[in-house]
Amino acid sequence: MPQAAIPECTATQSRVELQTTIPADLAHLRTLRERFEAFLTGIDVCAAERSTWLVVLAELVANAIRHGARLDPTACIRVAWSREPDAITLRVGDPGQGPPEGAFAEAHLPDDDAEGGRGLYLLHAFADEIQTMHGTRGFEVTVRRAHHAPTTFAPADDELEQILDELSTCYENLSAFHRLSQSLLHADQVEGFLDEALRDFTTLHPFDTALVIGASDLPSLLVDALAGCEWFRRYDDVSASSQGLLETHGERIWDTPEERGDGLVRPGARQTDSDTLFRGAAMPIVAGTTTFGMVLVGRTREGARMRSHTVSSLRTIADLFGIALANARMRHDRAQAQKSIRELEIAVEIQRQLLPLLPPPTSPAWRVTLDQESARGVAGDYVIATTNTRGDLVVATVDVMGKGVTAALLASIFRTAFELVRDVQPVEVLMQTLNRVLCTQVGEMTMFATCAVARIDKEGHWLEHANAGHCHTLLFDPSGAIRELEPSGPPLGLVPTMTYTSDRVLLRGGERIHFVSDGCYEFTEHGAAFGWPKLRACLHAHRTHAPSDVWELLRGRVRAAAGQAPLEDDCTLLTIDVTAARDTP
Amino acid sequence: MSSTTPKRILVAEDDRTTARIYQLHFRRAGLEGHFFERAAPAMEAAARLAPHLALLDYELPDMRGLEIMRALHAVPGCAHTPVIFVTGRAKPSLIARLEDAGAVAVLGKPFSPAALIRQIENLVA
Repeated sequence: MPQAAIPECTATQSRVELQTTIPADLAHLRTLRERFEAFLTGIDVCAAERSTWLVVLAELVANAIRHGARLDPTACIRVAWSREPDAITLRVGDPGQGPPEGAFAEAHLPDDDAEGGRGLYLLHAFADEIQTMHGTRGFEVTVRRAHHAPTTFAPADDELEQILDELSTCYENLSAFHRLSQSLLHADQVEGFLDEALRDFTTLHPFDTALVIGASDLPSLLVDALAGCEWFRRYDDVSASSQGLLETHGERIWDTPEERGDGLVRPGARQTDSDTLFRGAAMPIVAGTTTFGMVLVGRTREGARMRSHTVSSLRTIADLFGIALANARMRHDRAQAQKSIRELEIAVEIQRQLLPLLPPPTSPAWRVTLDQESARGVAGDYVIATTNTRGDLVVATVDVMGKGVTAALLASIFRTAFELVRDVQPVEVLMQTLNRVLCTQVGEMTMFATCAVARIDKEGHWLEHANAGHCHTLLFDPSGAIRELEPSGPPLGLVPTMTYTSDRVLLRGGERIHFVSDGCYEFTEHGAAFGWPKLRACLHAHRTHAPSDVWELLRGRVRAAAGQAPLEDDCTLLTIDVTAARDTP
Repeated sequence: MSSTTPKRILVAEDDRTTARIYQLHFRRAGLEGHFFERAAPAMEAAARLAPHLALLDYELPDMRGLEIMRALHAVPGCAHTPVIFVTGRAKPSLIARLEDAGAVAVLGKPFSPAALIRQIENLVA
C-alpha cells in the first residue's frame, strides 16, 4: 500500500506545525513516525524525549485506527503536531465515539498480567496536559508537554555586530568604573589605588608599556606619593614627544608611528617611552580644569590594533585617576587648613594664658597707655610696659613674624627674656641681650621679631631708646616738633652678634612718645596707601588729645579702610605722656 | 586553548541581550555556546552536551540561586562542571555564599566581557 503523503511542517516565528490526515491503516504509521521524529529532531528535542514522543504517537494513532476507525482503511485519522514557544502539542482524532468520558482522567500502573492500560499510564507519566474531545467529527486526544528549545540567534549583520560591540564597550567601562570606584572609596593612599587600577587594566589589555606621566606642574605632594611607583614618570624624565603629547591636553591613539606624529622627537635623541611604541594611546588625566598628567599605553611591535573598547576602558581609567589625584590633593589641602586652624586656636590660647596685655605701671612722672587690636583673633604684636627694680619705666613694642603657634611661642620667649633683662643698662645692651637669647632659641629656623625698647628713668628726665628693625618711634615735644627715633639694626633673631646703638633724649616735660606697629599705617584707604607720612601727620595733629581719643581715631580709620573684611594686620599703639612742668636735672 | 574541538559552554540566561553579547564574544574566542532561557531545558541539554563549563544567570524564571547549580551537578556527567554565576546583585555576602557552595566565580552585572572570556579560557584550558 502506498504510504500517505504527509506535507511538510509549516513554520511561523512562534510555531512549527503540521496537520495531516492518513487513512486508518497501520501501514502508514511508519511514515508518520519518521516525519514526527524529524520534526522533533529539528526542534532539538533530546533523544530520550523523542523516543517517548514516538511511543505516544504510535499509541494514539494505533488506538485511533483500531478503535476509532475500526481498522476501516476508508476512514481517516487526523494527526496534527505543533511546537509553540513553550510546549509541544500532539493531536490525534478519529471518526469514532471514543472511550467513555473520564477514561483518560487518570491512569494507574496496570498489573503485570493485565492486557491493556500501559499506554494510558505512559501517557499520563509523560504529558503535562491531556485533553479529550467527543464531537461531531469523532473523538480527539490532545497531548501537551512543555518544551523550551535552545535559544537561537539569527546571524548578526555588520550593523548588529557594531551595536553589540558598542554595548560590550559600555559593559566594559561600567564594569571597570564600578569595580575601581569601590577601590577608590576605600583606598588610603592614591598610589595604591593607581597601582591596582593599572594592574586591573593591563591584566585585561596586555601592553608592553603602561605608564603614568606627571604634568610639569603636578603638585609636589603627588609627585612624592607616586615617585616610588615603577610605572610613574616625572615630566622631566620623559621624551620630548611624550612631553608634547602631554602638552596637547588631548587624547591620542595611533596604530603606526606616523599616526602618532614625531614632530617633537629630536633627531638622534635616545628614544624612550612613547617613542618606542609602534601602537599606543595617550589619555590625559584630568579633573575639572586641572590636568595632572597622562596615561600612556602601547605595544613596541605590530600586533593587535588599538580596539575601541580598549581605548574606552583607558578613558575610564584616566577619568578615575583624575578623580583619585584631585581627591588626594584636596585631602592634603584640607588637612593643612585644619592644621592651620588648630594652630591658630592653640596660638590664641597661648596668648590668652601667657601673654595677656597687662595694665601699665603708673607714676607721677609719666602716663602710659596701651591700645591694641588684633587681626584674625590672635596678635603678632606684643607690647610690654613695666618697671625695673630701680623704678624706671621700661617698655617694648614687638612685632613677631608670622602667626600661629610658632609666633606665639617666640613672643612668649621674648617676654620671658625681657622680664629677665629689664634691669640691663644701657638700653642697647638690653637689646643685644634680647637678640642673643632669641637667636639661640630660634636656632636654624627663619624667625625674627622687630622690636623697639625704651627706658624712662623714674623721675622722667631721660629717655633711652633702641630699635631693632621696628617702625620709627615718634617723639613730639611740647612745641610740636617731631623727632623720629629710627632703627639701628636688623630685627631680633637673625644675627646673634649684632650690636645696636641707642638714642638718649633729655625730657623737659610735656613730651608725647608714640610706639606703633606697621598695622597702624600699612593699609589702603580710598584706593591709596595710608602710609607713614599720613600716620605721622595724624598723630601730630592730635598730639594734645587724650591717648584714648587718638586711638579711637586711628582705629576708626583702619577699620573703615578694612570695611567688612577682617583686619590684615595687628594695630598697636603705645603712648607715653611725660608729665609737664618738672624740675629738670 | 586547544585549537581542535571548541570548548562547550552551557549558558542559562533569559535576557536575550546579555545572551547575544555572550554569543558575540564566545564566537570571537572560539567557544561553542549553547544557550537556554530556562533552567530545565538547560539541565536536559547538559546530559547530552557534557559542557566544559556552565554560565548561569542567578535568577531564571523556573529556578534560581544555588538550586540551578545543584540541578546541574546532579546531571550525570556534570558533577564537576565548573559554574560561573552572573548576577545583578553581586553583594560580597552572596558571592561568598555561592563560592562556598562550589561556584568557581561570581560576576556582577554589568560584567566585563573581556574578563569573562579570560576567566572561561583559564577554567577550560
